[in-house]
Amino acid sequence: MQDPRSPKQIADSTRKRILETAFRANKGHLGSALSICELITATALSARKFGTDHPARDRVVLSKGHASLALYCILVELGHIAESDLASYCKDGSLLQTHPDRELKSVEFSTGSLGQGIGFATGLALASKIRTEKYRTFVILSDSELNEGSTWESIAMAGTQCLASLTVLLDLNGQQALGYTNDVLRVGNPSKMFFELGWNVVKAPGHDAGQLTSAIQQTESSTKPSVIIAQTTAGRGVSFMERRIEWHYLPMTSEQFQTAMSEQSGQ
Amino acid sequence: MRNQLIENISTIARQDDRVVFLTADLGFGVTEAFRDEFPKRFFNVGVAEQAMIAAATGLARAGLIPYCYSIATFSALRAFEFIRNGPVLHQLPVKIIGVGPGFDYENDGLTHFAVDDIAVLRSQPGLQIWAPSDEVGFKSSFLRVHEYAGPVYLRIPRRPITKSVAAQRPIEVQSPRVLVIAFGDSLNEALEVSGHLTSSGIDFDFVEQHWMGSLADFDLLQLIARYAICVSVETHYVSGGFGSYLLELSQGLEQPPRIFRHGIESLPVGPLGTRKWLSNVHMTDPTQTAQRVVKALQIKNG
Repeated sequence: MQDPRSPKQIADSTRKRILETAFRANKGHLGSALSICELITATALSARKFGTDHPARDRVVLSKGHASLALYCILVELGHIAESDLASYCKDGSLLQTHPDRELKSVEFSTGSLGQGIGFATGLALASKIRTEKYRTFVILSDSELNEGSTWESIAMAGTQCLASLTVLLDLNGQQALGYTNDVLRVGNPSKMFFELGWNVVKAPGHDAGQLTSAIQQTESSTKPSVIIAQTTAGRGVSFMERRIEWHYLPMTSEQFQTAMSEQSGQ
Repeated sequence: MRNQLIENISTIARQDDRVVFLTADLGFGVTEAFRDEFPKRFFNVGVAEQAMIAAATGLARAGLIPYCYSIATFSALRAFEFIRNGPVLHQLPVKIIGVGPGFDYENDGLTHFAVDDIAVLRSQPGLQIWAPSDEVGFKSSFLRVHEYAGPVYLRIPRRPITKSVAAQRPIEVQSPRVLVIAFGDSLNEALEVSGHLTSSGIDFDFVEQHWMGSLADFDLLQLIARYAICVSVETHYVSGGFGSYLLELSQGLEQPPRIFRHGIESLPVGPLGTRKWLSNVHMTDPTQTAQRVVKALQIKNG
């Protein structure tokens, strides 16, 4: 049954769930997870048979594996993971840890090492081309992964092979573990670089789940691989986290959690 | 050997449409046969070994059987983390071809010498290493490579290893207490060691070994259990390779044999030459290996 909520409502609910789960587990990586709330929501709503292992499902690869909590939370939102499973996040013996594991039904690849998910996804897209299968492959890529040479190998390969079923959603939040991306390692203009390497480039506001969903639909007819350049804000939705480097790692105190929740819509 | 390999992959590909071939822009004069016969299943991904293994992982996840071709140092070492997090972690049948074991690339230098590939790859659970030396048994072994449900590293010499004339000799043994094991392409180096053992009056058995994995090989364990001394010979650093594997394996025996490792001892930098020249300079001195065996036997004989 289709979720009656709007993409925005689902994304907002996902954001709250991320905060609650991270606080309960006393874990960080919040800035990254909050950055992709709308990206993961739009992807989940667009990917056919999302959250299942149906053979005809569209494939979704979270290349920035450290934002796994956002993936788990959208899976709960859409009913593919039980709330009780999410409650086990980061507990001993749980499959739900700080990076996605392939044993979880909805995970195509275990990611966590940056610059690898996009390469695996390239293979999935190449396989669909070889076998003329209809599934699409979506990758959520962080801009810090543009630091990795292997990411560019895969981008070039996808462009050369015209892997039209591949869509990358670039989480362009401009920061990474220890600093702002332009201070750490300049990698040029992603739009121009993807375009030069044979990609269809689409820009969309990174925190508008509705517009992101439309952008994903727009890429379906492309004859080239597509990238949706999504300008985002790390720590989005929590005033004291937004664009702050330290929230790549920090867990919240009780006081911080209360403040963060009070800033969420519907509180 | 490379042509033989491509012939075997092509033969399998005719029967199994899951086979796809990826090359990191290497294999001139070798890979064209596959490309011409299967143009839609051949991909030159460019000089991008990491992307090649990553894509192969995706292909395998989607149900295909990718063969990834490059020089051993590049496919095994450059792409190692992708092998670890890709076909090993996901237990997928990616076949990683590494051409040029040991000093096979002679004048090309250490960047091209696969002298540490086994050390790295044998640590990986579920990954099998296949190291043929010639075309004998190639076909049956190749079927095993293809049908294995997990990743396989194919350590392929550029040319078949033929016994050097000087090294050929009949081996006559009577209740030997010594076993010489030639791993992969090290046949001639092992025969040289054998020659020194013979000169020292040592009887021994001689076998070739072409497979290795991270788990215990019980056939091999049973074999070495019959000897007091085993000499491993390989075109790899003595540290971390087949000999080290044998040492670890032998610890599973109540009375383990002494293991003497014969392989590459020093960093092969500076002057270069033929495989033979490089082996003479950088591998264990066969005289020394024979002397160790003699001494160990004397001690055991008390």
